[in-house]
Amino acid sequence: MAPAEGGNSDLRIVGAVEALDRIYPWLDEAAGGEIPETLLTRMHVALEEAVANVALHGFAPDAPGHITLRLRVEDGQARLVIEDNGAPFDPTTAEIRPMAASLAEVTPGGWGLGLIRKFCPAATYERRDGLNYLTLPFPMPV
Amino acid sequence: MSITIHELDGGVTRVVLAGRIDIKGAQEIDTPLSVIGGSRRALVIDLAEVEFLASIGLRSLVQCAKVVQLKGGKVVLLSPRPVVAEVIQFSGIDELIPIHDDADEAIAAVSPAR
Repeated sequence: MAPAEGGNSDLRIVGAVEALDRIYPWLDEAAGGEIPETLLTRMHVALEEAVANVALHGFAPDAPGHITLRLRVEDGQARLVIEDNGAPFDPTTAEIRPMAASLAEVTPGGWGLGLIRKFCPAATYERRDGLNYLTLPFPMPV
Repeated sequence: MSITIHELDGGVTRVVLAGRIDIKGAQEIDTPLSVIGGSRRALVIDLAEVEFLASIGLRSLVQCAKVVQLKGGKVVLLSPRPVVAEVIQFSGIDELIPIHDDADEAIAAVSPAR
């Protein structure tokens, strides 16, 4: 894995659930001690949800595509970009099911999108040249 | 991911989860939690040693709590770390499964009335 611009490394994984194991150590290593632990854990949550969403729903079952992760720490921000060649999907505007009023009524699941938006309110999405780009900027504490 | 079961006095079960509840971790606890949920009526799920919780893990916790409640039982969560608590609160799950930071209070909250 060659170092990329900004001194951080990119990670390219197969868009399948089995590949998710690699994103946790990757983010820790790419952060290189520059990101405070609490912020880093929040970034882990948002990243896990975003990548899991693509791996689980972005590709046909017999045709996993690719997901590329990038981290840049600059200008007071830690910015994650998740690029994938799956079906077009905007996690920043997709409808979120309202929370049920009781345990009896709740259907477990569907909380990942809400977590991405709560942990990273400035998330943006773009579809370009057949690829999805989800950008998750996290302000660095001063 | 590890899961340990402690049977307490008064018919209360304390389930101690430890590790990362991501997709892989959730797969590891899903079956044990289903079995526990299916056979207990007063459950304290201790999250103090859980380092990380993803939405897939919330699903396992809620499914277990649903089963227990269906039988007229109760489930509470105990002592999640700050970021784990944020995941639970941001999802609104704390409205469905109460969070306690004190073990005695948690046990009292689920204990069957005498």
